[in-house]
Amino acid sequence: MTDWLALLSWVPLLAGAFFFLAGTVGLLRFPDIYSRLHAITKADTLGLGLVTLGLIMRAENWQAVAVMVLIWLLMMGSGATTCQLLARYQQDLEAPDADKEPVHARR
Amino acid sequence: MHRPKAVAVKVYAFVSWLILHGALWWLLTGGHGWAFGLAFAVSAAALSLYLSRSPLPLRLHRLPGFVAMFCRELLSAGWDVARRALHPRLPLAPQWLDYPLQSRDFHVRLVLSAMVGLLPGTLSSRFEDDILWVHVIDATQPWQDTVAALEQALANLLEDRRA
Amino acid sequence: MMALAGFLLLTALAGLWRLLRGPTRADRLLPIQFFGTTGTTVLLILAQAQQQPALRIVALLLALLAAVVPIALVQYLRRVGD
Repeated sequence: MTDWLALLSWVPLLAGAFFFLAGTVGLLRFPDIYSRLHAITKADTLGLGLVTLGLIMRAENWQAVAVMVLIWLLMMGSGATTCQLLARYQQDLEAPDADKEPVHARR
Repeated sequence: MHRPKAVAVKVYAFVSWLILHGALWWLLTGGHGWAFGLAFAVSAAALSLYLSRSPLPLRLHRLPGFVAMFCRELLSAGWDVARRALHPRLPLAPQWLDYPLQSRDFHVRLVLSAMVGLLPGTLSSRFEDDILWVHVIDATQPWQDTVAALEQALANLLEDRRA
Repeated sequence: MMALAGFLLLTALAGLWRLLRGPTRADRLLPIQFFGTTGTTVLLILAQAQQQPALRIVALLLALLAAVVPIALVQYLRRVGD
């Protein structure tokens, strides 16, 4: 591991931490559930991505890099899916009347 | 579709799954225990083929451009939401709006509806009857163009042209 | 590196306030996703800082759980909830 690369890796690492912080602030400050979903999904996915990038710059072998990329892809997919699922869930709670109910909402 | 072509499609899908699961085994074990690994890869590939009957025809040569575009959008999405969260006056104008879907392809719609949540200022709960339900964090901002660009990119990447 | 991990844990703990306060049921489910992401990140940092590659596999498991748990929970609440 070269020193300048380790030093440079602090840029994405700290940027990632910033987005995690922003996500939490959004989670606490935003006035409604959907806006809070925006904050968590985007900020945390980006935060994880940046921290992963920073760690990749310090990684000792290719295997560690590949596992970290795999984890990021997985978290991105699950984050996007969970966000959509929670938005749909909340929407159904707010408007349970049959005419607004989409076909695939209930199994 | 002719019969031999259908078989070729199946074989192609199986081999792709096999390579994918084999790579996963290699990655997680560091290339050890291939006796188990081979059995795992073959059975996982068979299961994947059984579970997803129409494997996505991903156009690999378009993938790098797509990833670059997506990373750019994710970065601006995170920055946008961070700015709003840390702004003293919380500049939000949240609203549910409709987005008319252009693509007829089910997979494109499905992936789009999930990925829209990672674009700047948008989030989707579901799609029905050619309409994507989009929640925008600021209705005064232009958001349609980004969604349309992603939809187009997804269509280029994985739309089934045979249909 | 450890300070970074600690900082991320603090942001996750602050998010707990939302879980306690709600007000909607989806609000209480939100921190699950949140904890999954932050926990995975912290594990990845620790794996690097302490030279413990096995922690990356733990992170992978947590990521897998974070993918499945919210789906299972929402489906369950849909059946039972209202």
